[in-house]
Amino acid sequence: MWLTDFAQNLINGTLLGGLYALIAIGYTMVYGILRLINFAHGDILMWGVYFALYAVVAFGMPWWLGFLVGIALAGFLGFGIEKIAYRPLRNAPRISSLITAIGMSFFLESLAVVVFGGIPKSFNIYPKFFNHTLIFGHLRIQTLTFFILGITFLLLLGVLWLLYRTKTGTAMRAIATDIPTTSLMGANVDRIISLTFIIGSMLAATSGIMWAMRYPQVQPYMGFVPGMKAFVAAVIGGIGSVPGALVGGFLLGMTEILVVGFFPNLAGYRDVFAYVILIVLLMFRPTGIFTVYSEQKV
Amino acid sequence: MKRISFKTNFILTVIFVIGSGFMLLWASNSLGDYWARIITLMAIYGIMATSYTLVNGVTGIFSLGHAGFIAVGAYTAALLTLPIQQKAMSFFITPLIWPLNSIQMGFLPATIIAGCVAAFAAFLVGYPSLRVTGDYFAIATLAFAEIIRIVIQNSYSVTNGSLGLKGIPPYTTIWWAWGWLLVTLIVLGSFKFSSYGRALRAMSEDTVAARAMGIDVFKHQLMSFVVSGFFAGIGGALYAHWLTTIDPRPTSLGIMLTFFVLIMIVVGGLGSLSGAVLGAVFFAFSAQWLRIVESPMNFFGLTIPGIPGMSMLIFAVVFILIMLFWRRGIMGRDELSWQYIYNHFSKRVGDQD
Amino acid sequence: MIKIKNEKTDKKEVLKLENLTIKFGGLTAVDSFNAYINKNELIGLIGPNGAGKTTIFNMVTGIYKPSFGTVTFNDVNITAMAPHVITHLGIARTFQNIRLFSEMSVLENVMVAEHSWLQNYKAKKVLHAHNPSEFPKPRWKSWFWSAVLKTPDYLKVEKEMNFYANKLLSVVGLDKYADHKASALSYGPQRKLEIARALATKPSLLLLDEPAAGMNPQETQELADFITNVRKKFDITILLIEHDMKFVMKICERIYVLDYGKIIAHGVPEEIQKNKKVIEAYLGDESYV
Repeated sequence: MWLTDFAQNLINGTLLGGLYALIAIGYTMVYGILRLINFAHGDILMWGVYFALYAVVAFGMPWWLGFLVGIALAGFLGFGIEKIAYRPLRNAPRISSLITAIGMSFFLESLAVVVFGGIPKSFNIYPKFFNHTLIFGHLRIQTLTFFILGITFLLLLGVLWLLYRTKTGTAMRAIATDIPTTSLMGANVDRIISLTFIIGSMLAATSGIMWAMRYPQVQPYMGFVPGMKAFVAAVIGGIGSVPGALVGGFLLGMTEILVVGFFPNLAGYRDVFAYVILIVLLMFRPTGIFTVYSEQKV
Repeated sequence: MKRISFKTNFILTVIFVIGSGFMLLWASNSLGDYWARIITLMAIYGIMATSYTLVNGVTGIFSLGHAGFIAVGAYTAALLTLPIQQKAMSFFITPLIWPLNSIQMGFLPATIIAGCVAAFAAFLVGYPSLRVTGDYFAIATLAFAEIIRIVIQNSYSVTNGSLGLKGIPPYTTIWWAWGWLLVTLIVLGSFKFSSYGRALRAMSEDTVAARAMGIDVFKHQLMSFVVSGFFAGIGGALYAHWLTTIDPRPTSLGIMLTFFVLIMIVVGGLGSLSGAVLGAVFFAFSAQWLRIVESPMNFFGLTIPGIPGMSMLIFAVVFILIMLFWRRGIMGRDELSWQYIYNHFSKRVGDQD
Repeated sequence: MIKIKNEKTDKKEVLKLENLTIKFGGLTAVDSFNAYINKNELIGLIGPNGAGKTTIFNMVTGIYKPSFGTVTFNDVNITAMAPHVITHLGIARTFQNIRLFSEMSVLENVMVAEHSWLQNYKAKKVLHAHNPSEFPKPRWKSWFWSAVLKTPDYLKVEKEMNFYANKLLSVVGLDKYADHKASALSYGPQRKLEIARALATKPSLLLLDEPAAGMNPQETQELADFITNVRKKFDITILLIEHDMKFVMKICERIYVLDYGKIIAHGVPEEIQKNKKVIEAYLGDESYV
């Protein structure tokens, strides 16, 4: 019985971890390039979910098309935010960009309250077969779990392929180390940065939609907690590193589920774990557990 | 440029304070309860904003944990002033632990204790967090504020958990709030314009050079953080007795409140205490004024339904526009002193010649 | 800040660096650097770009922790102490790329450094531990409340700070700019202000990092006189890094030459001028005249 519990938790942990990882990629890529914590990342996720919901409910699209439209629009939103709010501040003090990002997050949340209303909406637009429960011995797994796991792994593979096997990906990684030099080498920095925001936002929206399928609810503040958690995941993996974000996401998801699974009376403190991990890491290993420390030049 | 002497400065300030006192007296007597409440809120926001700008502006470290200390102050003070029967009534899930269940004290000692507890919390948060810098510090303090909130939400035997505290006596009057704001301004102003304040401002510009000039950066940052925490706690105590009901939702004493105070200090100019007060007054006033857009309006017989959340949206837009086009805010890093007014005035006159 | 009485000879060693080594990753930036500086000397540290001169300053002032070796200041081992404690013990410095507090006024820049007068408890404790008979056990005093409540003893110190800062400014000839923002000064005066700021900590050893960088020959000439003057007036020991060979040859009493993190020569200016290794190291470097 103990073993089944463990296996069940392991699956749930992988699921949650995958969702965190998808969001964390956006954080880590933006931070890697602009040294900016994109506070609005979680809110782009929330908007992606609303886009998908309205595409299906208001425009009568089939669920899969609605999801794709939601993801695409989220990408467009990320693109616009970078262009309007972050680009003018690229050479300003870093704190100014951070404050603007916080303002952006606040703006997206308030706009969602105005446009969609502050009351949580149910997200039951996906077909019913996702809710079927398959039973393997003592294990009970929803079809949805397979769907989410499958999509997550496909996307993660896709991102890694993009970063390490394409020219654009090489340019992205080059910009992360040194913007001026890369632009001297002929890469269009603005375009690459826009692309980074689009990809990050689309991944976040995908994760958000799957999140909404699993916990079938949408509300304007739903992006905050996943966003914070994904940031923690990015820090665990060494912010700026995409493979690190993947590992960080899975580690965090797994830890959360396993701790709550084995100590159910701590469930109320579930979010605290992530924050404690974050603080401890920032203090003792601010560059994450995978990267080497680099000296600051005086 | 003429320097205004200390004596003139002092006399003008005393006149100004007494004058403001009479203004408040008039306001509390003739503007009605509703506006009296708003004017009280201005001062409460003012305390929160000045203490926040001490850290984020003057010291130049960017904290996002202010709401955490406000919450600590609010809960401490409320638990100390709540009538004993009220406590017994509210805590129906888990009874309140001893000694809190048998204490009831006056507003002033409760507020001071709230400040001290919040200052201690700031010490506990600042000591580890200040080891990291820049945006990492911002995230670490945000995480701490969330931890504080979640702990409050789950400690039913102390804070009544997510049910919150109800029936807090409405002690916060115009006089308490503005009186405390005056104390805050005197203490923080005196701090900013002392050798310590110079050290803080130097650190905010260049920590390496400050260290080389013999400033223990960590110690001074922590000092500023704790002082800020103390006044955040005072602000929290006043806020709790103004609201009379507090709970740990993110939208009441959570990240949302930090956002609001951040808007105030950005509007006022990061690093200016008087700017923070102006920002707080602006925020409290326009938040009330913007209620118009959220309630149904009647235009020549045509009824336009109110849009809930619209005021927050407008604040967010203003906030981003300020960051993009007017990063200085109202005061920049300057203080609204008599010297400042004199300089501006004489410059104007000079321009016309 | 803390003056150390010197009953013995004038030949007392102020600073002694032994086997000072630092590694960044795999790279050894400074390798077994040995040097001594006697009281009231004016010593030059020269070498081509990237030789590790500033790194040595950073190790002496505690910004970098050396991987190996010791820094001894007035017989006290100060290796890897915190930068502010080292400043309180009596070492002050300037920076290669001027690091003034540009938003603050000229006077305030100097007064910031005087804040160290209120903060030297730890340094006094170090000295007491080193030599209890000469340095009495310090008493801890928190100036925080005095500063906030503006008590008479604080106001007295503040007045002294103001007086001394104005005095320093008039010594360096910046008194008429006291109320200007530091960023409003031009290049030469900024360098002087940085020196005044360093002097405000009342050091016994002053480290100057390329004070003549970016100056024309006439300004350099003035600076040379200025530095000799400061040394005389403040009874101070000076170690300076410089690129301009003429300048160094003119005012320094002894010179250390550094290349690739190692000492390649040490001696009086005439010796250095003739040294083959030095000429080789500087060959092709346009600043060698």
